Parts: sequence; structure tokens; C-alpha cells
Amino acid sequence: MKLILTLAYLCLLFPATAHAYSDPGSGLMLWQLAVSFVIGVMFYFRKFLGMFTRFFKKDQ
Amino acid sequence: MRSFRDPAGKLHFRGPQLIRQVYADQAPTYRALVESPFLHRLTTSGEVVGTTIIAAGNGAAPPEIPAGEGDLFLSHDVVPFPSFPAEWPRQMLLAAARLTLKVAEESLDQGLGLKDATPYNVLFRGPRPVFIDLLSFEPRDLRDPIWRAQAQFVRTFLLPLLVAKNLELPLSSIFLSRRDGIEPGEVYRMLGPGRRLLPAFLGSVSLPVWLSGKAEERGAAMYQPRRTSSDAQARFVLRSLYRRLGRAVERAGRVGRQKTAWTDYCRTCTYDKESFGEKSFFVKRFLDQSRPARVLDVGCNTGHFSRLAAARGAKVVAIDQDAAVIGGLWEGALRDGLDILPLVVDFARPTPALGWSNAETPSFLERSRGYFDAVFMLALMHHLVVGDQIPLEKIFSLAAEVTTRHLVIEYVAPDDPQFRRLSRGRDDLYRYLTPEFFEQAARKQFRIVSKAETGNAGRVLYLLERLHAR
Repeated sequence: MKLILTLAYLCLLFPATAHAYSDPGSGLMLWQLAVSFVIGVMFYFRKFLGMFTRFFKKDQ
Repeated sequence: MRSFRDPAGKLHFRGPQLIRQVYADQAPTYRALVESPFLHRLTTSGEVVGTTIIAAGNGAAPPEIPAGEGDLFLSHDVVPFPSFPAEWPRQMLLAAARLTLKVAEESLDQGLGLKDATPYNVLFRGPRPVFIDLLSFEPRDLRDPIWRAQAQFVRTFLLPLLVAKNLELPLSSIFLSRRDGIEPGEVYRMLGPGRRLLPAFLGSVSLPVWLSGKAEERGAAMYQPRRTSSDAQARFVLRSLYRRLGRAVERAGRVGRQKTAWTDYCRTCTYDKESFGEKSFFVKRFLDQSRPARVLDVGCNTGHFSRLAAARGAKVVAIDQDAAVIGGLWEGALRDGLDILPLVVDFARPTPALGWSNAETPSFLERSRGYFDAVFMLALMHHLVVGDQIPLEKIFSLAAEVTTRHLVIEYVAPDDPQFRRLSRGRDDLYRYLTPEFFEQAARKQFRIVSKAETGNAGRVLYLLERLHAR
């Protein structure tokens, strides 16, 4: 999950446009939408992710 | 907090009673909430303010309150001595953030959410946070994965904690001058280019600022309802959001051992063990004889005397201008279950009234006047007289406004090492401050009940009683 989020960060690092007026609250909203989308997709793999983390924990 | 922003209802302060009116269209929702086992559990644990239904439907509404057909009337337990985030150390803001997220997460399975997320929804009963805004709960669209209050949570909890930790900006400077926390854009401008890329700031500050241009392009379309394909998926996304925010506030609010001029005061100050013991004895004897119910400890420092009072059953409000010692006292009071509310307040510049009409959060003095039956001012006089240039007479008259009965105050002589440290060689200016002058000033408002020399550089402890008891 950290990897996916890091990739998402990197994609968004360089904004294409800059605006004189911007509402920072809307930026927080858009960021929440982006993260929610990623987490929403992860929902379908949650069982797989659970097995994955359990496997590694056992390994440790 | 005199709340009026929520369109679902209204608060009425009727003397000691606190009545919440919920308008008819929302009444069934909140009636069901108040009667639910979920809310019962949270009110029993003290995490949500105790609430009972006093009148509903066509039932008799409390007199003097204009009621609409079908309005619901609730009575809330009153949290004594309300305090506001400008007066909290970081630890208390973190505790309020934790409680907000806990309540939000536990609401998920009830099909509820929080419509707002601000520290003003939380008060402290002694050291324990209490969620007070019942109307913040709302039924949620079960497939909506977005928490609209997230931006407010970030502005009012996460960013103030981050800024207080990393830029050492006191919380009071954020909350006294801004109604709704600090914006990511403002924090972004405070950070250097390197810091903007640190993980702590990237997700909550830099990315939202970089994205705000894109967000503007999208305009209102961004706020259109979004729906997941199942209820469980929406819950999964929201739970993950609450937990991520929880981890972020824990990291931002983590307080290492802060060392300021005052954190070690009890160990390094001029008091030797014996005379400190005499001072404690004097205070204990007063507490045992007079049994004050509500004590204000001004300049409480590590809170030694607040603890003595709380251990004897008093409800204590302990104030000091040093956030580090107040944070430490809060942790100790919570751990030891003592009824102490520690607040970052400078008695010489107390918290002003704030908000619309200056009536949303009353000033510290408005909350204090006539509320306490004993006030402690120990090792404080020289700070007010020298540090803040307040004449002695004014100190006594303000103390007489705050206490209804007793004042325990310590006289500090001008040749006391601590006094001289503050007066920086201007000793001549303060020669007039003899014990006789001190007593003369005290007698305008108070009667001297007893006094005791502490055997420490001419310091004298006084127990005073108001001349005109209220």
C-alpha cells in the first residue's frame, strides 16, 4: 500500500498548471478523492492483501 | 461555545441547564440516536456528553423557548469550565483529535458520520476529553466513501499539531487569530523547499496546495456525490481514512521531553526541601480546613499545589503560560485520575472573547469571575509586578473578582534571588514593596486570615478572605 501511495505522490509531484487564486480546501478534497480511489480499488484485493501481510508477518 | 452555525438546531443556556433544541425535520434522527445503545455506550464511558430527552413531539417544551411543532428538546450534562483549543497544550489537542476519530470510526457501523471535525466539538472534563456536539452526528449515504469534514480535520487538528511540532509555533497563535485552523497554503509558505517534500508535509500540505489548481479547474463537479459499489467498500475506504489520519496526528502530536525554563522549576528553584515542605504544609492545612470545591491555581508550574487540592476533592483549573509544563501536568492528571484541567493561559494577558459578536467563546475572565472559591497565587507576585508591570493593588482586585472567598498568595521580597533575576538590577524601583505595603494593598479587598514565613529569603504565605463574600 505504501508503494502504491508513493507512486501516486510521484505522479502528482509536478503540477502542470499554476493558478493565481486557488482554494487550498479544494486541494485537500481532491487529494482525498485520489487516495480514496486507490483504497477503493484495494478493497477488491483486501483478502489477497491480508494473506500477503500475514505471510510476511509469519516470515518475520 | 455559543453555537449557532448548525441549521439543525439551537443551544439554550438556562442558568446551570443546557438545553438543545432540534428542529422538527431532524428530530426523528436525533431521537433515534439518543435512544440508541451506541450513544448510550459512548455517554456511559464519558466520551460523549450525557444527553436525555426532555420533551419531544407535542410534549411540553421548556418555558420561554419558542418551539415549533415537532421540535425535540434535549438536556445535556454541563461540562464545568469550558476551555478552547487556544488554551490547550499539544497533548490535549491530540487527545481531542483521537476522540473525534474514534467517534467517527465507531459511527461507521451505525450508518452515521460526523458532519464536521473541529476541536470546538470537544471540551475537557478535568483532564478527560468529552465530545459535546450531538448534532455533528448525521446519517450518511452508506455508499459514499468521502468524508467531507476531512479538510476541516486537517486544518484544525493535523496542521496545527504539525506546525507546533516542526515550526514551534504555539497553538494559541493559530487558534486565537483564525476561526477554523490553518490552511495548507499558509503552512506551505512557512516551509522551505526541502521541508515541503518531507513525508509529514507531503500529503497534508504540499500535495493539496499543488492540486488546488487542478481542483479549481474541476470546480463544483469535484463535490458531486460519489458512490461505491457496496456499503462495505465505502466503510473500508472511510475506516482506512480515519486510521491514516489517526497515524498522522499521532506522529504530529508526539511530544518528546520538552525542556523550557520552567519544566525543571521545582527542582532548580530557590526553594530548599524544608521550606518547600512548609509551603506545602500551609496549603494543605488551608485545604483541609476550608475544603474549597473549585480552585484556580495561577502560575501552577508543575502543578504540585493543584495536585494537593485535587487529591482533597477540589475541581482544579491550573493555568500557566508555559505549554510544556501544562502538557506535562495534563498527562499526569489523566494518568493519576485527578480532577485538574490544565490550561495554557497567561494571567496577565488572559484569553480574550472570540468569534461572532465576541460571543462564541467567552474570555477566560468571563468564565472565571465568581466561579472559584479559592485562588492560589504562589511564587507569582514578582512575575506580575516586575515581568508584566502590574501594580499590586490591581492584582488583588482581579483576584477578588475571580474568587468568591479565599486567596492563598505568596509575598516575594524585592531582594529575593528570583525577584532580582527578573528586576535585572533595577532593585531601587521596587524598594517600596515591603510586607507592610503588601498587606495594606491586600486589605482593600481581603481580610488576612493567617500568614506564615517560609524561611526562604523573606517569602511570606498569606491566607486571605474576601471582605465582601459573595
